[in-house]
Amino acid sequence: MITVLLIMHLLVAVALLGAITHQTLSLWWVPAPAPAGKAAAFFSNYRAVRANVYTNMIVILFVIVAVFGSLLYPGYRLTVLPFMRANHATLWGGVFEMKEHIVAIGLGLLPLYWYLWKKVLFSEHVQIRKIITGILAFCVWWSFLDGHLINNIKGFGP
Amino acid sequence: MKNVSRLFPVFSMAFVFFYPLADWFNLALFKYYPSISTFSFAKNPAGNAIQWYGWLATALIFAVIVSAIYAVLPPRFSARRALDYAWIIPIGMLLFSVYIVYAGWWAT
Repeated sequence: MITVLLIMHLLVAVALLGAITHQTLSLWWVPAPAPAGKAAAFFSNYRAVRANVYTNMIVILFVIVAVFGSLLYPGYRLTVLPFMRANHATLWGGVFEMKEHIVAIGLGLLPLYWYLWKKVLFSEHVQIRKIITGILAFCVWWSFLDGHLINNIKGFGP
Repeated sequence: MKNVSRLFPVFSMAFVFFYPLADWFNLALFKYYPSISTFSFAKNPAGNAIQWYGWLATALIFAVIVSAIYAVLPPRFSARRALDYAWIIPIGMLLFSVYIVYAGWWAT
């Protein structure tokens, strides 16, 4: 059961990672229009998305990933954390605790993030929208990489 | 109820502000003991308690209280004017979280 939950956690996290990366890059690195008669490059196309469309899905995916993560967390505390403590792996214990804090801060930012995308005109509060979206993207990327590192130290599988 | 979304920035800032403080001051509303699958408001001899859920609950309660106070303030106290400075709290609290982890794990 825990392995199934871990795979679902990973799959939803991948979807979230893709969505937030598209949105953040489109905001921070606005693509230049392609020269006449030439097709836009791959990275320009990657950034040339309607960023606003991603907002609701990012909020939903973030909450789902966090719920899956919180269901997996007791398993981590009972198996992986004692292993790390026994092996004096304090660096990695701290790295995972950082993930707990970053996910919590990301969860807390979701209402503000949604407000900035859905209730504020796109031409207003541009900088703060960029910064909050960037912080949320940082939360997602950190959590994703952090989870993988810890999972590869000692898996959750039976 | 119609204008509840105007409370969202205040709610977020309060939650992000109080969450690391709940950890630092050990203010978990409750604890979860995974070895016996039990939530508890009181200290339990089972040990190995998870406080993370309790810190989230504490931050949620503080954020709701702050949002409720903001909701009854007159419109001249609008937080919308301060919106451009809303990055200070999350970045500050992310740094504070690094310090919490440093003090709890890496400095020992």
